[in-house]
Amino acid sequence: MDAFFASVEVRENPKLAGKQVIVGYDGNRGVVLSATYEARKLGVHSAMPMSRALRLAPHAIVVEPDHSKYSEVSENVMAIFESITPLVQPLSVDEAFLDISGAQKLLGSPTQIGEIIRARVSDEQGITCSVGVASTMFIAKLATNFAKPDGLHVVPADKVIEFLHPLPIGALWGVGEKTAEQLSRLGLVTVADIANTPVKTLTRVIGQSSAEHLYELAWARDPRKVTPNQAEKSIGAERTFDADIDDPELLLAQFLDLSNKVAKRLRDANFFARTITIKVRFSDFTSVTRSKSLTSATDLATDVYATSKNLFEAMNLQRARIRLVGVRATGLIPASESAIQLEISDRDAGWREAEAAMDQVAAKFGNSAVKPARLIETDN
Amino acid sequence: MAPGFIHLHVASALSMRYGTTTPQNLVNRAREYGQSALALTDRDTVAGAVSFIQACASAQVSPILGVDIALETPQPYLPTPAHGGKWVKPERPRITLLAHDKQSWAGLCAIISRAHLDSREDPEINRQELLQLAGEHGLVALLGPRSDIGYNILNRRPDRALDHLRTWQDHGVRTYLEIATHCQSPDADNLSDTFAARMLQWAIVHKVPAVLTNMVRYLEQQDSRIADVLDASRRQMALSAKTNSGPTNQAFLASTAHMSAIAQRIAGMVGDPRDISRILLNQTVSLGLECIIDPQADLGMNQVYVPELAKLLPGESRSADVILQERCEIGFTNYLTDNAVTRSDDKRSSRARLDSELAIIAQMGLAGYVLTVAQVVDMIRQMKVRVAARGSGAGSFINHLLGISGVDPIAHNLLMERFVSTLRPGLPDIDIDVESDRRIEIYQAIFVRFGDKRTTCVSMRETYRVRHAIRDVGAALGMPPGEINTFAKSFPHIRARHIRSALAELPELRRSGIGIRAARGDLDQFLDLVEGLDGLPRHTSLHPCGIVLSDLSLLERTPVQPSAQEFPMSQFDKDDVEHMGLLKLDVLGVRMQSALAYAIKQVHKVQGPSAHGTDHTGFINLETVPRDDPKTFELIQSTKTLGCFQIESPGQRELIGKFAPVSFGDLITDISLFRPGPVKSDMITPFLRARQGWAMTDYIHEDLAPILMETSGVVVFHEQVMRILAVMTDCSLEAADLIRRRMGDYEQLDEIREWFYLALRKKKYELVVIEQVWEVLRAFASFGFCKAHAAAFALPTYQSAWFKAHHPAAFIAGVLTHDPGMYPKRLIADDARSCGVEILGLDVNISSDTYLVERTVAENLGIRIPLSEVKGISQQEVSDIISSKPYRSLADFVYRARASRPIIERIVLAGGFDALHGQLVSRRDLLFHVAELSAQFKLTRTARAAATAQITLGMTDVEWIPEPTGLPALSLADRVKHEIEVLGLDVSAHIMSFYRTMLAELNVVPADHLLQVRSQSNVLIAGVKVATQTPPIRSGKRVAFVTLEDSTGPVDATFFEEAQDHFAPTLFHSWLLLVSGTVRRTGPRGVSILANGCWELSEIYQHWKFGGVRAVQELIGVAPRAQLDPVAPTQIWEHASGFRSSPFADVRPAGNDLARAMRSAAKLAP
Repeated sequence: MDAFFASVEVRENPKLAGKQVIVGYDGNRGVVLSATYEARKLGVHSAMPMSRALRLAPHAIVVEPDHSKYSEVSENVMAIFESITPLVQPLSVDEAFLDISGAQKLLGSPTQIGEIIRARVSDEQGITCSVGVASTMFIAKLATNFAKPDGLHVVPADKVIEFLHPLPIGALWGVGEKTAEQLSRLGLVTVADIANTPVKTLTRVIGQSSAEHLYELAWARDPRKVTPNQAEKSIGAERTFDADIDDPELLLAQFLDLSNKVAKRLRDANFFARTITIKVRFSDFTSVTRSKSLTSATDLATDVYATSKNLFEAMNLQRARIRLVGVRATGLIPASESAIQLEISDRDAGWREAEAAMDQVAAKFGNSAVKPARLIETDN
Repeated sequence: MAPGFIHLHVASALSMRYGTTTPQNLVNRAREYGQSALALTDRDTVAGAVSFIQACASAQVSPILGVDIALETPQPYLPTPAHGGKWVKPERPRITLLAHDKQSWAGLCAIISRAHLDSREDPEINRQELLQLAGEHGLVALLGPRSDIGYNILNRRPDRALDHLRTWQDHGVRTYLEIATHCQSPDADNLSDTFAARMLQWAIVHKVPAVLTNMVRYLEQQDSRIADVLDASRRQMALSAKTNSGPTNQAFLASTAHMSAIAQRIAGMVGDPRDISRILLNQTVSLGLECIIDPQADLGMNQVYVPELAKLLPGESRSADVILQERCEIGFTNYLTDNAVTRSDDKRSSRARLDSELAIIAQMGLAGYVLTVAQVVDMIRQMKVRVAARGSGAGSFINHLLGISGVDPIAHNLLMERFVSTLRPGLPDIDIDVESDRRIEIYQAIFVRFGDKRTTCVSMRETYRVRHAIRDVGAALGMPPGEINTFAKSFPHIRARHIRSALAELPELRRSGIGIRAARGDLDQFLDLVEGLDGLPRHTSLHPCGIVLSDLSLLERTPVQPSAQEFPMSQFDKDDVEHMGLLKLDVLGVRMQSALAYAIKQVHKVQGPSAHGTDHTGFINLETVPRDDPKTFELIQSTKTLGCFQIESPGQRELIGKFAPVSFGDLITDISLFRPGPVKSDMITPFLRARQGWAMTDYIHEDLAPILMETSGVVVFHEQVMRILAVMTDCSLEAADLIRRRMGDYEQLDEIREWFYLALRKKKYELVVIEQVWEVLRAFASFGFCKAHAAAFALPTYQSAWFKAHHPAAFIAGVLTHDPGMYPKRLIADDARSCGVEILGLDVNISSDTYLVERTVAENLGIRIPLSEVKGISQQEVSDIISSKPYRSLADFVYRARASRPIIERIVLAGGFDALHGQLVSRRDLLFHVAELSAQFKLTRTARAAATAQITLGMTDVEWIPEPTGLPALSLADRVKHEIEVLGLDVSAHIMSFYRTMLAELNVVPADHLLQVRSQSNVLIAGVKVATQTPPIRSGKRVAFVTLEDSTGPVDATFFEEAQDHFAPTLFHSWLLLVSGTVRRTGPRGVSILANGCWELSEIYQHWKFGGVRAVQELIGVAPRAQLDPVAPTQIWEHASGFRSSPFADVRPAGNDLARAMRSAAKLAP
């Protein structure tokens, strides 16, 4: 989708059409979640601090996000995709890979299918989307960037290299800012530079596996296949505070709350987590993450919290000013595969039942009906 | 009359990041309230004492002085690994001490000095030491809610509170309980009514006298918001309900009635409100009256304290006057021989000059002072440090004879009366310039010579200006740091209170998002707070040159605290120390002196004793080189004076181009003319006209001819005004100086005018003459310049020009090493090339930590770029690299030099290994090699740690030659880009060379061709921005002068306010510029561009690349020019003399610092 949240807001309120619209919370600490192309022209992009966005686009209209609305539209759009082909791999709330190799007989050429999708999304959901078509997932994703906004870009198989090579190396999947900088210092600036450098030479700088990976990508070789309903890799929750917090007690209460949220989502999705990661962002925007693998996988808030607490306390932060904390469960395994039944321990006897009961109450009366006593005051 | 309430616990803004208002404001408010006395008890300092006492004297409020001091907390605090702010000590217990006489003031000084001794950031004092010092010196202590007693009463431990009380009393300290409340709600803990009542109750029970205070930290309730920001900033937290130390707005300087009401309220909670509140108030007032300080008797103000003669000249029993006379006689004999004074008239007149000066010094009792300064100067000379006097001291013949000043005042018509006069009390100023890099050494020597009981440095308070205010308010409001940074940097260095007018008026801000949001009112809260911080002190630092020399009583009169460099510094600033009667000597580090000293050594090293200007010592002696050297004046007239002292700025180069100085005297005149005064009153034009013979010199009256001859009939110097007044009115030169000073004050002008007319009429001058002369003098007013100052400046100016004329390589190496001027190094390096001096690239085997002069293969002189210029390199890394020289290969370097990987990579990129490997492999190949080597290095690091020597030997035994990667070498453009990024200098090629084709197609005129362009024609120029100035000019508008450099030389462009309108953001924030404008000839050699537009060169380049010349012309053609938006009329300040200026003139403009910006500019290269 193009500027997804912002497009939904414009759809809901046509007065906003053609204007600079920013979705996010106003104030000194808010972050841009989405912005219309009118605002983007001025340099606004998502994840940018709101105060910066408003400096760049002082005339922009700020709209507070309505997530339920977005997930509804998202579900509808995904449903359109699934009506085209069953091979849909959602990438995020507003992006998905579609394998249309099987749909061509029925619906026509890739270009035609692309236009069908765009037309249906536009007609049925009232927002625009952009489609990139190519023979591999990697190129298709890059092609989408060329299509935006509200367009279609097809990269035929024989034009892939021509398309790919002039791009900056940052376009390569897996090349972050740091690698890009490291490589550009060596004068490797475009994908073509990588493609024309011997793997042996690349290996000298970034190690064998990265070198081979990048070299393959630089020649547009991407073995990935569209995998529908790919399992969630992680479940997490984080929170930015209205004002920096430096009180360890308050922070632990936040961790407790987030642990509850994460554990509930684990149970809802029928997953157990093997690893718990916490994230702490300081007032100067530097972030630190710490992870710990559990001896046995869990879906219980008590476990998630105990691990988070240990990790946090081990950081020995004293009264650092903290802006954001997050808890994330990774190494997910389906509940059916978990070995919980085999563990002989009375450590968490009762907790499983208690949390299951909490889930039931929550399902009936809403999320704030039952919670640990410590969270009652701090809830916002 | 009733004395009214007396506030005994009051913090001013001198309590850093705590108080919000000046001592003056507090005093004035107390007077309005009819309070007869007021205390100033700042946190950890008495820095406000002098201005407080002065304010008290004029408001007729009696001063009380004390300090609010923190007590050492027993538990040590742990070091923290945290990001987002350093560790801040928790608030510690605090008590207030009051002085009441000389002895207790000395005690106060001792306690404050002690508290600062161990902890520069958070001064605090050990309880035992405090009790002892307070007891010994008879101080009065107020133990309030924040004291140990307060904490214990709060925590319901009256037994412990009592123990504390007894300890205080046992040490003989007069102890009072301080009762204070800021909130009626009991939630406010130790600042609530309830708690105050408990304290009072406790005091009554234990029979301790109690006083009532308001723990004042601001003037009015609404200032509490500023106090909240300061709290947030002090504690390094964002503002929130939690970090607010109790949501109070009650800590204001309250009226007597308000304080009585508080007393009644609290007393009512204890017992009979009337009796108890009366006693409480009476005790407060009577303690206040008892503690009133006498500035003369107690603080020793308005007296003079210089080092004891015995310390100055051990074993000397004669008086200072006799000794001074003797020294001067010796100097006088030498003077006559050195200057070949043979005419008896001359001898007689200089003799008379000496005698009259000695008489004045004797009358003023300043012999000890002069001897002290002479001794310091002698000491500095013995340390072989270059030293020069500056300021009006150069007007004194005695100073010349004693070797303090190198300029002969008789030869240059300088007047002693401008320096010291019996009509002006107080100590005169002698400032000494020394080599900047040896200043610290000199300070140490002075401390050793006079002892640290008699010597201290002077402190200086930096106040909030707009950028710091934005940073602190932004942090307090929790803005993202990156945003705070952008916000702050988009402002010029103006005062915080001008933030709104800057946003509304400066084109580069008005059009920005910040300006638009501000205009809409979105940022009101933010801007209010920024304005509220205006002028508040935010940091105390070492004054860059002041040193106080006094007698043994020094530390009893001023508290000292350590500076960042660990020098003790008086809490008083430079003005305060003078009021405290302390002799302040300004020893100023001047980078040019270091550059010259360095250049002398380089000449000696490379050319030996045969070099031009060398004397018998084998070194150049700048003091004895002739002052009429033709080659030097040829250089000055050519205006190729980049790097020279005082005459390198665009404006000065324009002036010397027109003026063409031919003598040392001309240089003095030139420096005096290039001052705000003469520029403002437009003295330059008539002077140049007369000088160049275009206009007849008009002396108005023959009496003025001898006085004004040296400046072609134009009044330039203070000394000339003094002489005119003296000659025409028959007053003494001392009186003339006094009148000259008074003429600076608008309100006194009429009175002086009357006196002047009367005096001249008496001497039968014609009315026309009187009127004309008065007009000249009035216009001059306080402007113009002290010739002694200018003469002192002219000496290093001449010396630097001499050096550049004769030894350009060594001189420029000195300038590059010590960076004395206004230009970025890359411009100086270009200047070197244009002087025929080669700039030699970085080379790990040759480069040192300074710019070395060396002979090139072609037997020319070149300057080698030092390792210290590599971005991010540490001093340690530089010396490690140098000490392990030479290196056989990159591998050898990686293993032995102990530099970090990014530094090694930068050295590679800057070409540091080209000489070792350049022919075999490219810089790019070397980078790959570094990656490999450091992987290898990591593997062997453990082994290396075990046996460094063997491994090192083992490694270098194998010649490990980097393997070519097969990749093409970096392009020249890339290499230059890297060089600028790493060194801030383009070595391989000039950055502009990459634009050459485009610039030629666009008909951009190179700097060295501008002289051939007809005046008034339209041109395009382009180059690297090397300087931006916004000096004050006559119209009162803001004008921006920009200097561009394009490899053929510098070119200056002027942007008037109209032209800035659309282009200001580009002008101030970009580094490679294309400028359009018209050529303006300013003299035979002078040319500058009157600009009407400017563009970022890289943007032009993009247009040119895709659309050719046409696209660029279109872009430039459609750009709006010189239109004024209908904005609020620009704010203009009017000076007393009628001169108008923009409040935004003469401040450092917006954007990054030039040297730093240069490195980022590299990214813009094509």
